[in-house]
Amino acid sequence: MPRVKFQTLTEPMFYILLCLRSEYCGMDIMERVRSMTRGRVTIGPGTLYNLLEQFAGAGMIRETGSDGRRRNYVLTDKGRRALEEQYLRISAQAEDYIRFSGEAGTHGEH
Amino acid sequence: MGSTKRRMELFSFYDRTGIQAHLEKMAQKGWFLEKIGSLLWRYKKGEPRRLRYFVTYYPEASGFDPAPSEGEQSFQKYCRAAGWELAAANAQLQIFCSGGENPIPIETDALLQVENVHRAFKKTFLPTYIAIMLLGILNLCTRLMIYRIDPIEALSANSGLYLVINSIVLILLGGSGIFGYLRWHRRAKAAAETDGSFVETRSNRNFQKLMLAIVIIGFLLWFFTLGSWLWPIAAMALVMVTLELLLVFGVKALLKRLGAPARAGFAAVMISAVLISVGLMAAFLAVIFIGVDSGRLGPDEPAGHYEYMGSSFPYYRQALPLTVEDLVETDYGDYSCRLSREESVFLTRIEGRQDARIGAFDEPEISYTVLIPGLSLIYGICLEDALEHEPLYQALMPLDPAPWRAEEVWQLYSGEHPLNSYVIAYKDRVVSFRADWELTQGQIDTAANIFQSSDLWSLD
Repeated sequence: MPRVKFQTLTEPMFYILLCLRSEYCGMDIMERVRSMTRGRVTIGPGTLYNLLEQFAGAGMIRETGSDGRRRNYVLTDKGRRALEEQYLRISAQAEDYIRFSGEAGTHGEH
Repeated sequence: MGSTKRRMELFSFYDRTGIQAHLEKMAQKGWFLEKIGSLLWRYKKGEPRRLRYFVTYYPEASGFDPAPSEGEQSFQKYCRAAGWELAAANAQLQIFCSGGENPIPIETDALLQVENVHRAFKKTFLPTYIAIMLLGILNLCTRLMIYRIDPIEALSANSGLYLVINSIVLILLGGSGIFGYLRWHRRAKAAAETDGSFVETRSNRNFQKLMLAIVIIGFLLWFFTLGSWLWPIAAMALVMVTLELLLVFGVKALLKRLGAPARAGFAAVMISAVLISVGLMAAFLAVIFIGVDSGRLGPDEPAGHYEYMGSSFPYYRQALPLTVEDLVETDYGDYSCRLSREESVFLTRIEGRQDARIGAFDEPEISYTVLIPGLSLIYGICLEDALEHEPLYQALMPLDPAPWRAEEVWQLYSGEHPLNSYVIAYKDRVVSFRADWELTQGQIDTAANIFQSSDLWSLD
């Protein structure tokens, strides 16, 4: 089923927003996300550029300034809420997993 | 070998997989993409090496942008930060290369990639494909209209066949471009939404090469089966088309160099294309008209001109298969004898006429048209065309075909008066024959011998 735009965030989207809780240079996000996830999540430069443009268009981030071609961004309130909601969703899923995977082990259910 | 070379690369715009594989192969041979032109791609020579190429799209770009926009430059800067250098770009198409072992792909989100390509498709490539298809459909409709109005004219010239083939090629190219893209888009979007995977593109280069080959072969066949008098006109038409393309591209390049904004540049190029087209066509027609009028251009040059009542008239001295002298004795020596022949795979049309000078009303004259269908199914069309008459004041009456040794014969009547006009249907040809006297049996016999002969129709 196609996801509704930004209603749920993919991993790259989540980590970009996470980076931008404080002001950050857009170009440096690629390396930052890689180090945050220990190489598990990689974002291509084209994908990063497009997501930053889309987040800015959706009002979830804003540009704080640019130094030549280096643009800096930071989360807006809307972006913070989206990030928070995603975190709560993931947390709820993690809790459900812990709760029910234990039950399945005991009762043989899936 | 020079340090640069140019090639026509027949890739569909969305064929990332094919383009990347091709460029990587070229790099291993020491040829590196330098520029993507409107028709040709330019490569520069260097040390063969292993390069990774990545094709991506920047939908906001336009072929009329005087320079890369700030956004486009940012995009390219992001790619450079990840180890990708811009190899070449043309409007939305951006091709990057990297010498790294395993560089991070420029696009890592399949759904975003599909959306990007789709935006580029809707903005530029879809209108282009539609324009190509519409051009083909328009050409085809024009040919069909000409066929409706004058089927013999449409069928007897190879140029008509060539235009029909070209029209079909354009429709197929435009249609296959749209269909191929939409098929990939549907599969790629479904895969991206389901599990985030990328779908490779399928190349249709071989199909495009086939279409190009058909156009070139068709053109060569058409050109070399033209009457020699048409070669200067065909050459002028080619020069005109080439000149138009050069001028329009030149205007576009000039506007970009002057820094004209994209929209203004696009409008200016469209307007200049129309003006250049109209101007060149007017010049072309003027040259044709003057050339034909002066006798320098035309299927045949008159043998001379004669004066009658203050006007000048051309006369011809061409060999005719059937002449007045074959039918009657005459010592009139000022006949104009003119023969024309048009031939295609469908039909051969031969028209002959022998006319006395204007004012010599008593001299016998003849004219005839012979239609020889190349395909049996064209025969009916030839017969129908020959039997055309004005039903209000003319009628066609069947005659005994035996004197003509034909399948069927009709004579044209005006009211109740028989005219010396006949339509003679032979097994393999249809003849329309007019004499301005009543033919005797002997004369019919002579004419029938000649009309049925195949040797005498050769112009060699």
